[in-house]
Amino acid sequence: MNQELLSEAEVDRLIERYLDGLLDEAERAQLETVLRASPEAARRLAWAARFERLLERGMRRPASTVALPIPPRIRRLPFGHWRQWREHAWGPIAAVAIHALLLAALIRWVIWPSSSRRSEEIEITLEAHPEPTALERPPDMPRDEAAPALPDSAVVAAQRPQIPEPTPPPGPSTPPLPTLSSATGPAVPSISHPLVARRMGDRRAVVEREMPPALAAQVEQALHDGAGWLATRQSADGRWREAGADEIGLTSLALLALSARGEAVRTGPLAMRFRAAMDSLAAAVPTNHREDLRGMVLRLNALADGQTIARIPRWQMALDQVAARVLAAERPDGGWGAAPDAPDPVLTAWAVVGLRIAGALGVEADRSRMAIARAADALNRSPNPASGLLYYPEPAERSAAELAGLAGTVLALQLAGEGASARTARGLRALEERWNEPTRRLRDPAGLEAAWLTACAYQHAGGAAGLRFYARCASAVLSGQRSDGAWPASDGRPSVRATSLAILTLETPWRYPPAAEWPALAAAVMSSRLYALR
Amino acid sequence: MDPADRHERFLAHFLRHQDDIAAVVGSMVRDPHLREDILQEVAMVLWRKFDEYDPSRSFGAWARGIAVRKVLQAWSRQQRLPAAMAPDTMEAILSAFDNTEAEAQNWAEREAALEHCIAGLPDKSKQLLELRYRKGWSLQAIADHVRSTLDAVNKALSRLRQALRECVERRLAEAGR
Repeated sequence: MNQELLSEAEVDRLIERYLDGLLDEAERAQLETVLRASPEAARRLAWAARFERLLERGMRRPASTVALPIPPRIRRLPFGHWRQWREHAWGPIAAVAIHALLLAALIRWVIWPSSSRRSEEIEITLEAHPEPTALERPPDMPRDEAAPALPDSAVVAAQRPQIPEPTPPPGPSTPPLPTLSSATGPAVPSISHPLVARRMGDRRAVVEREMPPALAAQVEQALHDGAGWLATRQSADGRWREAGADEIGLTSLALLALSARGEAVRTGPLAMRFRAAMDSLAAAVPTNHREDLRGMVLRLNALADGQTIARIPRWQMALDQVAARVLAAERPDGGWGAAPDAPDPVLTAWAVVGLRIAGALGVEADRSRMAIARAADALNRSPNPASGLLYYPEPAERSAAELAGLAGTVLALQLAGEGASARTARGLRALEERWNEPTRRLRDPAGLEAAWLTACAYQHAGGAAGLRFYARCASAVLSGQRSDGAWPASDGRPSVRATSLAILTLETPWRYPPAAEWPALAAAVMSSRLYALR
Repeated sequence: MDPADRHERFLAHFLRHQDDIAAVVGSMVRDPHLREDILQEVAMVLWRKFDEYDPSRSFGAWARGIAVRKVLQAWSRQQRLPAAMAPDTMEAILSAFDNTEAEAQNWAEREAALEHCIAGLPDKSKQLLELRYRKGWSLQAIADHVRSTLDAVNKALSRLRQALRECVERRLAEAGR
């Protein structure tokens, strides 16, 4: 059917009924057919829609003349009515008295105590609840002396922040690190945000017990050595630099890796390095107003993760800003990335992880939820072969970069609440099949990031397949570590990026709880009001 | 670009085209709440992506393209596919808007003409327009209120819109002479 079979009047009638929401299915199909076949019919609908908008606009304008009610004349109260005034004065006098009392209470209990606090170095920590539930029960923290010891050189270096920079970066010279306070942590006892509690104290040991003991000991030693090596490569201004790498992104990645050391980062020997790096990231301002997207999402992750360890207002402000920037950088059809046709699954995964952690801290939670849902939607629709979902089970062989894309897609979907979907399960199966020969995979420049994303995806999925993958992958990662604690890049030289990604991969079981537990953790934090400004 | 300058330029473009953007969304989405949500999202995306807008091309066409994509996303999110239009139909409507953009620039004159035309309507007609477009009532609610049928209200509104369209065109033609 086309418009030739319908008169103009008939087309107009259909359009009018459509605008009033009265079309039945048959009429709707008829109208759509006509609109597709006839540009003139489409033009008539366009004009009708414009006129409807004009009507809405015209009718919602305030009337140009409004009849205002005339107020009654106010008569001056003659002195003779003093007795009546006195009888009615008690109400206002009582109101003034109550307000004065309230003001005094406000000054005594709210304004005065808060002004007497130290304004710098205010930390937001978790206070123990009088009757904690099982979920909220704080872990027993090891004392500093019980924390795993770093090599002497790293400890000494950590106590003296003005260390010589090992590899001076090209470009402008870096300002010296300002003298840091000798305090390494809050004086009051505190527990961690539930998202990072697995990295600390007894909870760390609980996770360890699920692994083969020999592997757990090897991983612990490798993490210790790797973090120690990373600490020695930090510049005086708190940043890490490497030829060809974006400074912000690299610093964020190294900071994320360093925070794998849990207690040592919060109150132990790495605390000052952690704080210097967080300060540096919090103060980072992109010079050309076009921040590198990868650097931006990594910075979001590092600031959000750092805030779960020690919550400091100036870091919180930076986190608010970078979360808003990441949300603003969302693609029009959802997800993140610069390609015109589809989101980049790896960048999207990083962004989703960062936004979820920030959301658990109350930063942009509502906007993030919508953006994450859109990202999942875009990844589900994505024609990008790297996502792997639409194309599975072909092709049989995938590059490490494609594996990273596939793992990133699965991870983003899991954190978007689609962990139980058939598509996510299919992606996990594809990953398991494609991660053959992990040692060979890890030699690829994209191999370590693919390993980290895959390990995260399995961590969030839980179950035996996750442990199987972790054991296989961890062995391959461990075999690549150098004697100085670093991991090499593809050119064989020790690399901050490779070391950071290797640490993140090895540390996956301790980093965050599975995605399915996050809503309960966030709800527990919010409802118990444990996470309070001290 | 200086942020203040960027803001000013964006506002100038957006204010000139916001009614056309609303019209294109309205031609595809009949649910007023969903329409408002989509318009909010479109405005946010346009602001965020304004740096990518090529000034040598029509802002209206760029904005309407983004609006149509947002409509598709909204339907997809809400999984209301039976109510969604076929993409070909949406493309045809979008082309019609693009092809008539030049004729639709005079929103302010049209609004002034419409105000004059509405002023000349009988009270009953004004009341009908008020219920539908100021209060946003559905046709069913209006039919219940005036104790009539859906078809009768639809016909009355159609005649009213037709008469107002002709009145507005007549006034614009007279003003152009």
